Amino acid sequence: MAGDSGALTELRRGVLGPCVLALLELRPRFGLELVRDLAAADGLLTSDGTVYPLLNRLRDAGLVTSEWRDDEGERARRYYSITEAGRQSVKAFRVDWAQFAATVGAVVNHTAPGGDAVEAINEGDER
Amino acid sequence: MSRTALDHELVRVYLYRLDYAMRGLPAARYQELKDQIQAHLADELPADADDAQVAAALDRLGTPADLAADAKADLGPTVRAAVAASARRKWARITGARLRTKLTAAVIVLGLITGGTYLGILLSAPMLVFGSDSVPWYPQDADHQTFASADGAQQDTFPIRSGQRQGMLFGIYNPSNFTETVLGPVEVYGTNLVFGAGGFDQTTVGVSVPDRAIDRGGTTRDVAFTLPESIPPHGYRLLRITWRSTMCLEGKGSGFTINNLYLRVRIGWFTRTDVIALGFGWGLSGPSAGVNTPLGRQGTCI
Repeated sequence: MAGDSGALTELRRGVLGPCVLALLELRPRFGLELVRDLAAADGLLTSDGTVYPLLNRLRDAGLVTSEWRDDEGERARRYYSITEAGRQSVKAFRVDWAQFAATVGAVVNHTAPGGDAVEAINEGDER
Repeated sequence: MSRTALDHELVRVYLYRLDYAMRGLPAARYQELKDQIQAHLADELPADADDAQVAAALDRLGTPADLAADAKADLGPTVRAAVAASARRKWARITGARLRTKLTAAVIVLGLITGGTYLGILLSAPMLVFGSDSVPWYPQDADHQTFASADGAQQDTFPIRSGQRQGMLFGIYNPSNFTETVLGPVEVYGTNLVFGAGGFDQTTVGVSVPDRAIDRGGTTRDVAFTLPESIPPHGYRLLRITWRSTMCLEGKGSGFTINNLYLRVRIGWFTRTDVIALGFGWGLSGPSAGVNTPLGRQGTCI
């Protein structure tokens, strides 16, 4: 992926969980379905396999549950659903993310209080 | 069974590599992740997916090593340490098992070599030998013993008493470095062949406890004779054999010569037949009190 970096990878890893919860907030999904939806949001997935350890971690944290469904004409699939704790977690993340994104945006765009200091640092780097 | 994408060779290799990469994970977590990956591939790939399709799907999935690293990262530092310790213990068990297997194999080989050598030494141990002296057990036979020549050879001889119990006392020596235990006479189909020939019945064999010199004066009467009885390395014992002759010897000058004794002997765990050569031998001389052979139904020669 063009422009990818270690920092972006870490950032992606950090936000992937809330993104999965947000998708499950709309409706239960099975593994490949989740992967495709996340992949459709460009840049969120570095690899499809990443989703499964994450789902297990969310399940261990009580944020999602899973159940096998054997729909007629379809092969049995494990569907993941969000729990109430998961919904609360997404809700809290939206608030945190909005604040965090604004803060980061302000800093990197030199619009935050203390932007002079940041500028000075940047200028020092250039020298 | 219908073929699925999971049967594709590339998928099987991938899953095999995943197995290897996930070693050390708790079994339940490992199995769960493997099930998820298999379900993902089964959903994504058609049963007749070609190599390019499979390779692309596996590439999107990420390497088995990355997947396993993600799974282990989920466990947290404490569990990760436990997993690492578990992997180390497993490796130690494997290497320990390998070492134990090698040691066991070495012990078995060494045991076989030692056992084979031991068996060879045992079975090649010298047989019991005649102690160069013998004497009739019963006084009436000793009184009539003669040193005679027969067929150009010399031997001790005493008259046969057909149908009656007679006996001989032999000095025997164990020349080996092992204890040899006399078990009894050689028997073939239930027939006692301590002399290597028929013509005798009601035969008894005993070995003295302990060693005694053959005394022609008859003082060996207080010696106990038992079976089985062990003869220590380089030890001497008396061997007493009694029998009843079931044959009759016709005519003056007739005789029956005994050259060897045949005994069952145990050395260590093994049993073998020892043939004790009597050197110049000894013989029973005729004639019996009668002319018929073998012994009549009344136990006498007619």
